[in-house]
Amino acid sequence: MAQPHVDITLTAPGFQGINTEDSPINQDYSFAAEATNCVIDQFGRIGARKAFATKTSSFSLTYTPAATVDSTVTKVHRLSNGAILGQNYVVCTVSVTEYNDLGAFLAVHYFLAKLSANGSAVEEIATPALASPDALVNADIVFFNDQCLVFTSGNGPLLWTGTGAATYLSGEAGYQAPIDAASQSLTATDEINGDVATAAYGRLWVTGVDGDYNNIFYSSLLDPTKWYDGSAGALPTNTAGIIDVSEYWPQGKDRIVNIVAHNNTLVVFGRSSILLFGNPQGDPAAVGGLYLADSVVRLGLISRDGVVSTGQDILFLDDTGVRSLGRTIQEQAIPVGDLTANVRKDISIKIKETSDQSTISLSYWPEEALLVCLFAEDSTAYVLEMRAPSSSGGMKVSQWTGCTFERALSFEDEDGAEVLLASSDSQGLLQYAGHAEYGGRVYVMTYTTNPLALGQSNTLKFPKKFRYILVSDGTETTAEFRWGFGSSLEYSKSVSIEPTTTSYWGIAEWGIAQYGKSDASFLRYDVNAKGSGVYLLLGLRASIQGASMSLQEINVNTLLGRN
Amino acid sequence: MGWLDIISGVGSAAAGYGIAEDMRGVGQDAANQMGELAGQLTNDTAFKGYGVTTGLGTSTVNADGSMNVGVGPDAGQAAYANSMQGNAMNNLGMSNQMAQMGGFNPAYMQAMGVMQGGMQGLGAQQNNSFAASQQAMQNAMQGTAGREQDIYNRMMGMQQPGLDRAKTAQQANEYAMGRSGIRGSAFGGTGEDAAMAKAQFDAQNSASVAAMGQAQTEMMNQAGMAGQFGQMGGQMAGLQNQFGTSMGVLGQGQAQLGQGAAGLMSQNAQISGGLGNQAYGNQFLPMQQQLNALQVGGTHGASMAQTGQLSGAGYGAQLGLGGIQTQANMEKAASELYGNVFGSGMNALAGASGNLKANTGVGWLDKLVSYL
Repeated sequence: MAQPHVDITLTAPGFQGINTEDSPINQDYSFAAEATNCVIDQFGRIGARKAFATKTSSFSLTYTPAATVDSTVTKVHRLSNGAILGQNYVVCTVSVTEYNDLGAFLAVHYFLAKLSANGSAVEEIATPALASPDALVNADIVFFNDQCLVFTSGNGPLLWTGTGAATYLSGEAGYQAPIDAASQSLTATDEINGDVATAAYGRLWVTGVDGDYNNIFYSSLLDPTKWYDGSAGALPTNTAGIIDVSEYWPQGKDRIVNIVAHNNTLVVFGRSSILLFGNPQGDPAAVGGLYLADSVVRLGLISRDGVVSTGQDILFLDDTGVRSLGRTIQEQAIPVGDLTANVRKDISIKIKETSDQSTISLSYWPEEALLVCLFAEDSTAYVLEMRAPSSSGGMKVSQWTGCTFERALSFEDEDGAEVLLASSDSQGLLQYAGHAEYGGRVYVMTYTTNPLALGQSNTLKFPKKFRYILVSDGTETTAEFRWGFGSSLEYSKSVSIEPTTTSYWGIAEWGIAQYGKSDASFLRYDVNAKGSGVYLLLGLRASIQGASMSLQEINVNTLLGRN
Repeated sequence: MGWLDIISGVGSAAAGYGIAEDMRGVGQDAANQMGELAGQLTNDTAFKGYGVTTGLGTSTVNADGSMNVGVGPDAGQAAYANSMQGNAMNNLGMSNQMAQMGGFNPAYMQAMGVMQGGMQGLGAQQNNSFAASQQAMQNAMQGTAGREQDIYNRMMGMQQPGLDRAKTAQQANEYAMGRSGIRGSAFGGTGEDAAMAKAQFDAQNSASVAAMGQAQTEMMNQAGMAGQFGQMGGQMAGLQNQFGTSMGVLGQGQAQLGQGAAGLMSQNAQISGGLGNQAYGNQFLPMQQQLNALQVGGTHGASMAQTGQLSGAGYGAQLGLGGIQTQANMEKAASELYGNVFGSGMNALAGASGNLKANTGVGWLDKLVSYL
C-alpha cells in the first residue's frame, strides 16, 4: 500500500541555537547541531551574523621602519572608551610587527593610540619611555574622573588627559607612592604597576602591583595620585588603602584575576573562587566600611577580560563556560547560572585547549543582545543571544569564525551604540555592522539541524522535496542547501540568490517566489530531495557578502516508510 | 913718660892682683873655722833627754822628744766602767720596754678592743646610713623620666592582658566581618583598628600621667628618707666621737703610765751611765799622776840641765866668732893697702899712653894692638 506524503514544517529551525549537551535524537528542531557565523535575528530566526566591517582606514603611528622591512602586521590589542571633560574617546594599544621579504621577524613597535575624532584613523598618543613596552599588549585601560589611565605590568600607570602626550601618573604633583602591604615600605618601583584595574565607587582598584595578585590597592576618593601611605592619618584627605584578600580565599589560595563593581558590591574574581565585598562606598577602611559579604567557591575567572557587566548582572568566563554571577549567588546553585549549558562540554574543552587563556575575552553588545566569548587564539567565538534563554535554560548559542580581532568594545554615545573590534589583521578598528566584511571578504553562515526523527523515530523517511524560506535584503550571493541521514550531510544543492526587485505577492519564474518589502525579501527555494533514512539532517550554507540572511522556515515533503 | 913708667905700672897691677888672691884665701879660712865652730856648738847645745820614776812607774823623755809614760789605764776601773755602761744600756732598753709595755695593759687592750669594735659598728652603721642617705638623695635628685617609664611599663603591663583580650576580640570581629585585610591611609588599618589604637592610646596617656605623679611622689619620699638616713648617720658619728674621746682618755692614761715607768728606767740608765763614765775616767788617773810627775821632772831638772848646756855653748861661740872677726879685719886692712898700690901703678900707665896719643895721634895700646 502506497505510503502517504507528509508535509512537515520546521518553523524557525535552530532558533534556540546550538545544543550539544542534550541527546540529539528526538531533540527539538529549534536547536541546532551547527550554527556558525549565525545569530538569532530580531525575529527569532537563525541568521547570518553581521560583518566585521571596516571602521578605520589609516594609522598615524610614528616609528623608524627596519631597513629591510617588506611587510608589517598591525594589531590592536586592547581598547576601551570613556569620556574626558565631556568628550568621548576610544583609546587602544597597538603593535606594529615588521617582517622582511622572507617573512622573518624584524622588529615590533608598541603604541598607545586613540580613535581619531572623525573615526577614520588610529592615531598615536605619545608616551614616555616604558620599562616594559611589550606590556601594552595586555594593558588595562581605565577612564576615571576625566582622565584616562593605562595600567600595564611592570610599568607605572600612564595618564592621558585627552590632549597631548601621556605621562606617568607618578609625575603628577602630590603623587603619593604606594606602600607595600607586607613590608610597610615603598613598593619596589614606587608605582602602581599592576595590570588589573577598575574604576568604581569613586576610586581606582588595582591589583598585580609588583606581581602581587593578593592585594588590592585602592586610590583616594576621586584622586588617582594618592595611594596607601602606610600612616595613620598623616594626610587626612588621603583615604587610599589596601585590601589583602589572601586570607579570604575559600580554598585557601588563589589569585585575583579581575575586580568588578556591581550593585554596591565589589566583586573580586579569583582564578577558582569569587569574593564579594559589600559597602564599597565611602572610605572602605572606616568603621562599617568595606566588608567581605560572600564568597563563591569552585567558580572563578579564567582571564582578566573574561568578565562583563550587563548592568543587571555580571557574566564571566569560568572553566566550565559563561556564568551569571547574579543568578549563581541568588540561587546558590552553580548549574543554574550556566549560560553556556547547551555547549558546556564543547566550550570547556575549548577553554582548556587554549594555550594562552589571556587571549580569551568576553564582551557584551547590548544593542545586538549578544554576548561574545572570543577565542582570539584561533579567531573563533561562542556567541550567546541574551534576550531570552533557550528552553533548556542555557542561552541560545552560536559559533563564529574568522574573528580576526583580539578584543571587542561596545559603547554608546550621543550618536548611538557601536561595537568596535580590535583588529589583529592590520585593519585598525573594525565595527560590527552590515554584512560586508572588511577587505571584501566573504564569510560563510552554516546551519545544521540535529538528526530529526520528525516525530516518528522508527519510521524511514523518503524526503521528496525541501522548501527553504530565507529572508534576505537581496544582495547577490550563493547558498547551498544540504541534507542527509544519520550523522552526515550527504547531499546538497547550490542556488544563486539573486538580487531581485521584490514585489508584494508577486510570483516569479522557475518556482521561486519572493515575498516582502523591498529591503527584506522572503525567498523560497524548493529542492528536490533524494535518499532515505530514519533520522534526517538538514543544513544550509550561505556565503555572506553584503546581504543579510536568515532562515525562516523549512518544509519537508517526505514519504514515510515502514517501521 | 917713658917705657919704664909703663912697665912699673904693670908691675904694680900684678902685685895688687897677688895680694887680692891672698885676701880671698884668708876669708876662706875664716869661713871654714866658723863652720867647725857651729858644728861644735850644735853638739854642745843638743837636748839629751830625761826620766821620772814614781811608785806608779818610770816615765822617760828621749833626746828626740819622744816620751814613754811607762804607766797604762787602770784595768779594774776600765772593767767597772764597761760594766756600768752595760747596765746603763740595759736600763735604757728596759725603759723602752716599759714605755712599750704601757700599751699592753690587758684591761686597756680589752677596753680598747671593745671600744674599737663599737667604733667599727658605729662606723658601719654611719656608712650605711650615709650611703642610704646618699642613695636616697641621689634618687630624689635624679630625673623622674626613668622612674616614670618604669611605673608606666608596670601600669601598662597590668593593663596588657585586658588590652590583648580587647585586641583579640576586635581582630576576631574584623575577621568575622571580613575586614581583617583592610588598611586605610586615614587609619593605618581599619577604623576599628584606629578606634582600638585610640583606646589604647588613651589608656597609655592616663598611665603616663599617673606614672609622672607617682614618680614625683616617690622622689619626695626619697628626699625624706635621705634626711632621715642623714640624721641617723649624724647620730652614729656623734657616738663615734664619744667613743673616740673615751679612747683618747684611756690612751692618754696608758701613755702616762708607760712614760712614768720609762722615766724611772731612764733615770736608772742615767745613773748607771754616770757611774760608768766616772769609772771610765778613773782608769786614766795613774797615767795622769805619772804625767804630772814627768812634768815636774821636766820643768825643773831637765830645764836646768839644758840651760847649763846653752850657756856654755854661747860662751864658746862668742869667743870663736871674736877670733874670726879679728882675722877678717886684719885681712881687710891688708887688702885695702895692696889695692891702693896697684891703683897708683895703673894710673901712671894710663897717663903715659895718653900723652903718646896726643903727640902722635896713636896711643901705645893702639900700637900694641896693631903689632899683635
